[in-house]
Amino acid sequence: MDFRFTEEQISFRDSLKKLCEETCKTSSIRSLWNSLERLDQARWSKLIDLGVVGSLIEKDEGGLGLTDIDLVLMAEESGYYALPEPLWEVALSGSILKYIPNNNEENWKARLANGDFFILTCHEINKFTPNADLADAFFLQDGDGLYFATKEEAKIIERDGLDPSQPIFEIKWKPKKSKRLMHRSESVEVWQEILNRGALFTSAQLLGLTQKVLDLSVDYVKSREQFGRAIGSFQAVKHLLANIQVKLEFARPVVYKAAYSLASNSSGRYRDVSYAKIVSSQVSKLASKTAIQSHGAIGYTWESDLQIFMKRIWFLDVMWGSSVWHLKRLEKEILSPSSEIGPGGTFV
Amino acid sequence: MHLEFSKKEELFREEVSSWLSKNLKGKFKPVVGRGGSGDQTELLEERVEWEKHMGKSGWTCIGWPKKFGGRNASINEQVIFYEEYTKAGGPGRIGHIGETLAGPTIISFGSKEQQKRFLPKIRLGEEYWCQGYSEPSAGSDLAAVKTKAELVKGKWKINGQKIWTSLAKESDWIFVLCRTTKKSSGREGLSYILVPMSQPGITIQPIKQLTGQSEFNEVFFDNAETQEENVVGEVGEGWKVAMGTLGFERGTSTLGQQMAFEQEFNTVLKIAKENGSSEIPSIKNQLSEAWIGLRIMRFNALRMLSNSRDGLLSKEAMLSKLYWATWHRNLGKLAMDVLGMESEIGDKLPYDLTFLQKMFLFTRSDTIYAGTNQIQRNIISERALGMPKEPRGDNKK
Ligand SMILES: Cc1cc2nc3c(=O)[nH]c(=O)nc-3n(C[C@H](O)[C@H](O)[C@H](O)COP(=O)(O)OP(=O)(O)OC[C@H]3O[C@@H](n4cnc5c(N)ncnc54)[C@H](O)[C@@H]3O)c2cc1C
Repeated sequence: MDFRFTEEQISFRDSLKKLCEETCKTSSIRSLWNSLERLDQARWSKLIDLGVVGSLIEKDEGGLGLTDIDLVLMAEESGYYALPEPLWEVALSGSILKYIPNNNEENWKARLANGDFFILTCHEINKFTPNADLADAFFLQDGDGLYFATKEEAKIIERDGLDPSQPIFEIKWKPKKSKRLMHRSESVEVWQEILNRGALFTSAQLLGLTQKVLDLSVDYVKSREQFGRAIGSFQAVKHLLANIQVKLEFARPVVYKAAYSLASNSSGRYRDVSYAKIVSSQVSKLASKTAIQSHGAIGYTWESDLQIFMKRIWFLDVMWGSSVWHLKRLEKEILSPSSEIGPGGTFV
Repeated sequence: MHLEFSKKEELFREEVSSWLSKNLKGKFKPVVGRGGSGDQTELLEERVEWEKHMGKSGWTCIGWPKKFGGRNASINEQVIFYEEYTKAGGPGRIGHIGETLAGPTIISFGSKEQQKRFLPKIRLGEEYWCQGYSEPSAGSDLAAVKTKAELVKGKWKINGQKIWTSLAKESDWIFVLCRTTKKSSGREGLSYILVPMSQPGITIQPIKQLTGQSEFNEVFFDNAETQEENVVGEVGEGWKVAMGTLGFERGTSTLGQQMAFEQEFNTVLKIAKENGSSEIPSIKNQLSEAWIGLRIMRFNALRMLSNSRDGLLSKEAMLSKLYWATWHRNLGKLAMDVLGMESEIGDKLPYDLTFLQKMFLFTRSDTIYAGTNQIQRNIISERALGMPKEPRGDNKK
């Protein structure tokens, strides 16, 4: 057993970190809020060059053939910078290409791998689709079938969203038989895999976001003085923040394990993903509450960058299954009469 | 102990409720249920109209002594009033800083002339107030205020800056805690001065909040002026007066607030029942605990107020802010959990959030304003329990 990531996986993460450090400053995120530009083109082309969007597509379909283990650290890092572009949603769509029969009229499979055709996957569990206006096409769910619709074939309606960096849309469409890529019987498992992977990427981003709001808070309490000393010198403040770091470190291996279970198609992947989403949601919500508290009134302002990360935390908390949903799934498994408890059962 | 309302009090309840049902309609319909947590700056003109209407009819400042135009209402009567007001959907009171902070401070510490000059206009909804305590470097450490006032030819000249001043844009007067003794520091040498907002020496800069709205502001004083007689209490005794105001902030005004909390809770509960989330075990637990919390706050407030004399609060008062702030912050999150994914969908573009979203965001600040949770715990441990003080001051390493 070895929980370490390979050098390659770490350097893949580091290249994304460098890219975000250079191109995804909070000023750049804010500038998109008020601009008609929906995408930072320069940043997006660099992200495409990294290969992430096609990373989960098999090599013979033009992708990199990577697994969730290769990506989980990157997803975490993108959370740290609150990357607004739908990188993971597009990568997610790539991961199911292998199940889709080749009829390929418009050659969109190859274009998806190249990053010049965005497909977003709309799972029923999500009431809305973030960034749908950027998509060229959608994978859609009806009954349990899996359908394809280009943006012209679907109507997208923007709704006001709490996170200004993630515009949200409702998608209205009529299922057309000719556009059905998979029957109900074949697609049930694919939709579950999509949900698991969506929840995994979300959990990983929540880890990064948590580290970010914690780092911002630690920096702030070191420099802010009250009563003639740094507020970070007060035990009440110290302990608030130390608690977050403890919970965060404990959440990390859980999310990494979920990535492993998904990549290896282990039978425990459902419960592992659910557990990961629950603990990453918990720590991230606690972190945002604590971060605003340790900032005082400044943390409640629009000007403070804290809001960018907190609002993303609250947003991702409800995406791809809330804690309530995942807890239900987990409970079913743990409480089922056939569940094995102990080494070799729940532990692995 | 005697917990029932008397016949006379029940008659009072009828009087209140019938007045409200006859008056809170027609042109006042739009303000029903508005102006609460996170909604404080909405429908201002309409709410001012309503405040004036209430004032004329003698329904503002009912707890004030009769000689200042109040009704000398007992605590029970105030409870009844707030209950009926909330039940009727009475809007968030735009005059609350005047009625519950400035007014009682002037009644307790002000001169006869000040009482004559300021109280009627508060009562009639003609003048509105804001609180000028916090400064960029004086938040939790309020005694670090630097804004100074100097007496020049019968007028105070005020220079400095306040921050986080709620409703400054909407106010006619501000009570300012400032330094009147040169080179003084800490609690010494401070005074409590009333300053008119509309003058060239005052600049207001709104601060945008998480909700996208601006309820609080920066207030800059650049040779701002006020008459010499506008000091409340003695010159140099401002700390004592300021603490008196904070006592009122934690006293009777919490009764009204609790009714508003109850109303918000009911809204959340109703949605939970409608959308089925009340069937989810974790939500069920949270709803029940919130309900219990409401009762805990209620009974504690009533006990605390029964024990208080002349605005001086008993020990229990120190505990209440910590409790309600934390309770309300939890309610904000519970509202979001009850809504599930809906909680991310706003009202309309661009960035106009729903009532519950605003409440959720606003409640992030409950544990910060009027003394943070950490400061409350310090007060409880040091003043109520008599534990040793934490080291303060020069200890930056
Ligand atoms: C919505 C809102 C409305 C407001 N309205 C007004 C208003 O109308 N008028 C007005 O004057 N002010 C107002 N305020 C300001 C409010 O009173 C201050 O925010 C509050 O006193 C805290 O100060 P601060 O924000 O500077 O935080 P800081 O004092 O910098 O505190 C930051 C963190 O350090 C902690 N900390 C500080 N000192 C200690 C200590 N000794 N021990 C342990 N922990 C400590 C705090 O608990 C907090 O977690 C408002 C604030 C908000 C959020």
